[in-house]
Amino acid sequence: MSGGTTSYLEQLDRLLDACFAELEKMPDADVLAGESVQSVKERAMKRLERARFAAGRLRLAAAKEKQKTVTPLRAISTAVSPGDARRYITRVAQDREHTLAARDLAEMSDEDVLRLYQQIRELEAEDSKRDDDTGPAS
Amino acid sequence: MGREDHDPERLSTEEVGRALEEMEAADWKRAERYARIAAHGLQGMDGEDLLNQACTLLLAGNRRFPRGKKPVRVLRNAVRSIASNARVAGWGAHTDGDVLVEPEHDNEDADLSDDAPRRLAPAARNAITPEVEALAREEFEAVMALLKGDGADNEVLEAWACGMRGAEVMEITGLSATDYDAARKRLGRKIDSLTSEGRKS
Repeated sequence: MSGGTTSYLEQLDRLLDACFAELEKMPDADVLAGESVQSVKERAMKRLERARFAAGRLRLAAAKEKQKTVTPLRAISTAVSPGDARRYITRVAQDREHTLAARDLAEMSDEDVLRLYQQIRELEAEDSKRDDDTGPAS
Repeated sequence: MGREDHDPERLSTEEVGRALEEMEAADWKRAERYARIAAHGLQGMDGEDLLNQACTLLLAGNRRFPRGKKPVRVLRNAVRSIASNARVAGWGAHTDGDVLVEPEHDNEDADLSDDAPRRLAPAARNAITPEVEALAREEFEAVMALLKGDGADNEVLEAWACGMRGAEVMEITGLSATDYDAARKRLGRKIDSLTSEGRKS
C-alpha cells in the first residue's frame, strides 16, 4: 500500500478510466448501439430538468444560510431608535479615535444615521467572525 | 456558491446549462455508460444517481466547469469524483478531501484523455486501511469478473487496469486493430448490461 505499490482502489480507478477512454474513441454509432439520438437527448433533457430543480434548491439553501448571518443585523437596525444609534456611533467613534464631528452626526438625517449604524454593526460582525475563524493568537 | 462570478476561467451557471443542453447524444450515452460502471458496488446509488448529482453540482456552481473543456469530460470527472468518495465512504474510510483519486499533475479539471498516471490523493492514502484495501480488491475483482469474457477480452481488461491504452494494448496483447475493436465493443456491451447491484448492495 505504501511507497510505489498500486492499491486495488487505484487499479479499479484505472480500469474505469480505461473504459471511458475507450468509450471516447468509439464511433458515435457504436456508442449509441442502435438507440436513436432523439431518445438519448430526451432522457438527457429530463435529467437536466431534474438537476436544475435540485440545483435551485441547493442555491436556495445556501442563500438561506447566508441570510442567517445578516438577518439579526437588519433586525437590530430596525429595532434601534435614531437617538440610540447616534449615541452608539458617537461612542464607537470615540473608542476608535475616528474623526466624526458631533456636528456632522447631528446634521445627518435619521435614515443616514441608521444606515451608518447598520454598516458599523456589520463590520463588527465581520471582524468578530474573522476572529472566530482564525482563533486566538498564539 | 457564486464563485463563478469571480473566476473567468470557469463557466457561469447559465453557460453550464447551455453546454450540457448542447452536449451531443453520443456523449450523453458515453457519460451514461461510464456512470453505470462507476456506480458498480455503490450502496444505494446507480449510474443515473451519479449523473443527476454531477449535473446538479455543476449547475449549482458547487463544482467547477472549466472554460474550454469538453462537457463530457467535465461531467465524467464529476461522476468519477462522486463515485470514488461514495465508494470509500461506504467502506467506512474517513477522508478530508472531496476528490479521492487525482491525476498526478492536475486537479479535478484535468483532461482525462491523456495517459497521466493516477494516484491516490495524500488524504485518501491515509484513509486506506487494510480493511478498505481488502474491500477495494473485492470490488476490483468483481468488476473484472463481470467484464471478463474470452481470452482476448481478459487480456485487454488486464492491460486497461494497468493503465494502458489503445495502441499500447494492441502491442502488448498482439491483437490486430480489428480484433481490439471487436473486444472493445464486446466490453462496451457488457458495461451497458451492468446493473448497480454489486455484491455489497
